[in-house]
Amino acid sequence: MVGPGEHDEPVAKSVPGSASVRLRAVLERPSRPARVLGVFPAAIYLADPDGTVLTLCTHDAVRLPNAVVLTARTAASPFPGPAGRIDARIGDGRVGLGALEVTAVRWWTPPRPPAPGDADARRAGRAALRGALAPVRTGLSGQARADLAELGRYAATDPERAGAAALRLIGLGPGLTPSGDDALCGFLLARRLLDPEPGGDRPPDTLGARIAAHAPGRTTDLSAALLGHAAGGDGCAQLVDLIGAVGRGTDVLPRLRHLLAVGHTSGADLAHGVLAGAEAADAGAVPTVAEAPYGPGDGTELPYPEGRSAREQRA
Amino acid sequence: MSSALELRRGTYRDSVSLMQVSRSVAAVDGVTKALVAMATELNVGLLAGMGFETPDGAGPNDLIVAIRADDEDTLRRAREVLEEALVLSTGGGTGIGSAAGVPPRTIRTAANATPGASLALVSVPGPHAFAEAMDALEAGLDVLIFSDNVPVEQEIRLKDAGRERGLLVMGPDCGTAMVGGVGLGFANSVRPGPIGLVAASGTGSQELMCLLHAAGSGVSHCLGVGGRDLSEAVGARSTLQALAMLDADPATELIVVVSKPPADSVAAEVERYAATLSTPVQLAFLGQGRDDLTAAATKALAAIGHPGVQDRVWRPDAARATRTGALRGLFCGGTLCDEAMIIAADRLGPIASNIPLRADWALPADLRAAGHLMIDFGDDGLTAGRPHPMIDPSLRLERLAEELADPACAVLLLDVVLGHGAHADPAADLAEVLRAAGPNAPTVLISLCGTDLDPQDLESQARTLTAAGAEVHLSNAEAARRAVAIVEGLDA
Amino acid sequence: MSAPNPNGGSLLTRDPSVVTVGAELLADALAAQAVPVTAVDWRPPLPGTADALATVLADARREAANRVAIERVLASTPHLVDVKPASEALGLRAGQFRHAGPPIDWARASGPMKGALIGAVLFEGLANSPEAAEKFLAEGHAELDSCHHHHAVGPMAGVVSPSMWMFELEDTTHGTRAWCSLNEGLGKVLRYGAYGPEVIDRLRWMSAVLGPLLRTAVRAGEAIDIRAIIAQMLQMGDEGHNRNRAGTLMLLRELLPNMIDSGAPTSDIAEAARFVGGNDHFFLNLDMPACKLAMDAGRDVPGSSLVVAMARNGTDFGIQVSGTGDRWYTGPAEVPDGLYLGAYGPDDANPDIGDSAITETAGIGGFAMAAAPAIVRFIGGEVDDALAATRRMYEITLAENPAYQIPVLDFRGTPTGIDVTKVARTGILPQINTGIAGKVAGTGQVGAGLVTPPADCFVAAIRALAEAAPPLG
Repeated sequence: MVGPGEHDEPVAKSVPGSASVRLRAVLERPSRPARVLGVFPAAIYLADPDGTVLTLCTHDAVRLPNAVVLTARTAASPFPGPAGRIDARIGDGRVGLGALEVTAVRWWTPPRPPAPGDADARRAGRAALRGALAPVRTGLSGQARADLAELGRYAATDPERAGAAALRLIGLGPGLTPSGDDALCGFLLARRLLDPEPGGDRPPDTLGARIAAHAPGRTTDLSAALLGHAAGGDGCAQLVDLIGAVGRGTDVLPRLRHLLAVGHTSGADLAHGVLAGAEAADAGAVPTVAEAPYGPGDGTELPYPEGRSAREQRA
Repeated sequence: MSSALELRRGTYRDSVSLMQVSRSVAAVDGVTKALVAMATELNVGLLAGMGFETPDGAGPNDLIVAIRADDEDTLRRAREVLEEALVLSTGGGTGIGSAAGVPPRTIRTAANATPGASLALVSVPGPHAFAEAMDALEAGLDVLIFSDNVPVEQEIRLKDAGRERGLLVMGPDCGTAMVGGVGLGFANSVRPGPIGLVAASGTGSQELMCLLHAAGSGVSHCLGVGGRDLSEAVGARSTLQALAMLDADPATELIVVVSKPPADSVAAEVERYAATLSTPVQLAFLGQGRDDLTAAATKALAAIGHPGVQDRVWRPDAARATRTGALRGLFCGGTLCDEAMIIAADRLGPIASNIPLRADWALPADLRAAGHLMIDFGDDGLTAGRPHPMIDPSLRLERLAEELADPACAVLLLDVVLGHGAHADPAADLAEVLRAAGPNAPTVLISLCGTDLDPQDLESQARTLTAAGAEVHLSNAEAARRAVAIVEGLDA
Repeated sequence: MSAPNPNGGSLLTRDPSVVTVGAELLADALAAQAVPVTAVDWRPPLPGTADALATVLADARREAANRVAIERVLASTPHLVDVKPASEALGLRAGQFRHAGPPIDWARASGPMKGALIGAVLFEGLANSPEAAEKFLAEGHAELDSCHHHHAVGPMAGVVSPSMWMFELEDTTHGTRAWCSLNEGLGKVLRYGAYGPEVIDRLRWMSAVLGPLLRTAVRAGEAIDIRAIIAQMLQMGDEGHNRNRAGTLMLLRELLPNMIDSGAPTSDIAEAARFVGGNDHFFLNLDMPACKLAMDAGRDVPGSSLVVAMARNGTDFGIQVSGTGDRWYTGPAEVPDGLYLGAYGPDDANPDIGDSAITETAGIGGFAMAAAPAIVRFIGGEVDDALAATRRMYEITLAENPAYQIPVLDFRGTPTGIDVTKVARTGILPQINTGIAGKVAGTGQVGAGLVTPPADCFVAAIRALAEAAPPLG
């Protein structure tokens, strides 16, 4: 077997891609070299000279709001291997990656959840998520969860205190999207999308704008970009689906299960953020200490599909 | 006659391999009998039946080779084949995996092989479309049935089966849809926007989408339902489902239903249901005394606070002198043809057609008439057994050449539809026929349904047509009005 | 049955991934828009079936009926419970004979069928020469009927007479029974139409020694789980029709201790063990009735388009369908394409014969070809052909049998339960692995190979299903 890219002569290959509408300006500018931030089987992350981050991903990958999506599936290994330098370019409606050239032939719009239900439905949705999340392993430390709770509690009433808690979460944890950032993404998106006052597309709220502005330099480029998208109301479908379910008080468990499949602990961290954001979104729904999104804290429980630990299931 | 008998001891091969080797050897020209087999009791018996002696001490672990041939030379060739076949019988083939690329033969298999498959697009001949669509529904896919000539009772059954499963059946005879920015069937590329369409008319929805796009707005989704969905028999089954889907879609702020005027009871049901939705619904039922598509687009844009539609006109490089006489319309799009007939009949009286506004205006089977006439080349009756005129323009081009030479014809009105699925360069073929027309050819007006994002490119198509002497309009209704004005001698 | 797609109803919320069937142009237009497209390799249905297909596919009972029928098939648990003479098992009386395939009379019977009946008449002592036996049969003294009408199956000619011994299997889930004769081995044997003295002598020994010995052994132990043996043999290179080597040895492993314990003369036991162990097809006569039990469980579900029997009498190929009871849909049996023994060739071959296609009906045999790469060369093919053959059968079947798995296909279950509508739609005919009988009575086996049913069977079946379905609209 000859692995892809090992012995084969590179042959220029042009394929169609579907690009997020959020990338329209970035892609339509003239072509310029881009920096490769990371290469994975399902996705490649690129940054243009201005720092705008773009994801090139397979059709079955988690679709981030800054993604250009190929028709190929991950199993088809459409990307060059991680070994060696890859020449990347962005612009003129294309993304170039070594011999692979992707043309943006279509624009997709990051999903929005249906309008949230009434107060009872939202309360039921939060309760379902709180119960299901309790045993789920998260990458967030005890201190991080305390900061997340503080952020939720004071988001509406004390912007300074909330902002300080949020800044402590930025970049907290290992990996391409640190746990603290994931929680913030979930928080910002849920707070914005579950706002009982319908607003449609709006500029980022002050807290979101502040977090998005502080993130570059304090966390990975990709994570900072995703915080910016979250502040603008965009996230991956699994995240938006969970927020929609929490808002309507239905299907929370299956949606959570889908989100938990994202990343290593990313899904759980995002979900913790969603819970805090959902509570903050509802006026008068500021969580009591007893309800705050603290898990048992030892981080050893495995996520159980039905939201109960294996031990509880046996009991 | 030559023969050979050989015993190879301790050479075990499975019987199936050896039967194949025997067959190869027996196939040599001039070989009359061949047996290559393990010396089991059964095979030793067969050997005797062929007239050979049993070799001494032959046992089931020994290989017998017995060949009878016309001459020594044949025998030698047979032995060569034997050795080759014996070698081949120990290996060969490409092993596991290479059969995995076998294309699926049914939708169910294709859906199983495609995790995340969401939709089936069915365009097999009409008599076979039902089976495919049913398979798609049973596999859990929404379906778009592009095929026409599907019996109405099959349509009803499919739509009921879809509704039971929470799946949408678009069609039969659904030429156009757009879902999540993807054009299905014949579809123009338009920017995303706040207006969602439910369309019983393919070209009607294409015209509407292009006009909305040209005005600077855009479309969230366009759900086709098929030309018969709002008939009394089908009872708006898919329309009601599509309305509910668009109502639940956060990107859709206004829903427009595009259709010919439905039966009163169906219209009432659609109106009643639309009133229960949280998203406003505009019913654009096209017909005499009602809004045309351009007016419907303007109304929809006004409802979302957007400026209205302006027709765009591309003037011919060299305008022909106008004359009065007959108006002849040659269309690919049924709704565009219908719209033009309604506008024309209002001023000119009867328009003969294969899709007539009134039964007594029907064209005869040869599609000939002396006065005003309009032909829909995309109608079921003209597409059975041949591609749609948007793909294969030959039938319409033939007729165009005839009409261009007809001194009784004052104005020719044609539609040109761009977008995915349509001909890659429809203007080129038309222009060629137009250029070939004599100096006394009638005025040619074209309604060009397309956008700047379409693969064919609106501007270059318009330029090709104007260079060939045609006057091009973006609005089909405006093109029709201009045609009427010329026929009436009101326009110079 | 395919489970409903969990993504159903999310047309507007998910990026489209499209299955296309029909115009290539429309698939290309989607691919150009960066949409993943899976194109179906569509062909028109079997000629003359389009209208009937629509009616049957529109039958609201069909989907649930097929689910019920196939679930019953998959739930079947065949066990070997007894061995007894056909006079007891089927209640056969002197002069009564059962045969393979749909019903046939002497006049239309093929060479091997006639040869086997002659042999059976001789074996039963109803005539003392082949000529006399032929006269006896030609004059209509014998009462003939299909094995399938009596919960029985027989390979090749499938001729059963009162004195022949039969395996008795019980489906412990459904409480039903089915029977099949004991396998005589290969070459000159009754089921291939041979009736010489060695054939009759072997049958006598089987009734006098082998049958009673097997009965003692079976009765001495617990019922033998035939499904478990089939499941294992499929993982050992057998497909259960043309290759039964592993199954035979596993059966012998089950029976041998009790045979030895039986107190029968050791020479009889040794001869029986030698006979069974030396006959690679001995187990065929156990997997056939096991398949018969499974398919009988799926019978008589109104609206179901499941094929419950495929059988051949050497002249006609016949199928039966769950939704239309015991009615046969027949067409002329075809000559298999295969490899020939010794100097025999296609000119010596009789058209397809035997009830053994019950194995394919139940999803093994030719349908499990991928499990038996050793025998793909029957078609002059390669291992890929075996894999492709099994994959193709998934296109025309209702389910995958979780009990019968194919290692080389990642332990995918065998394609099980032929759906008449799928055969008519795709034109893909069931693949049957089979032995080939000589066409002249008395010849015996001349080869082995592959065959398909005539398409006419399925055309007739889909039309009958359409007549039985409620009209559309």
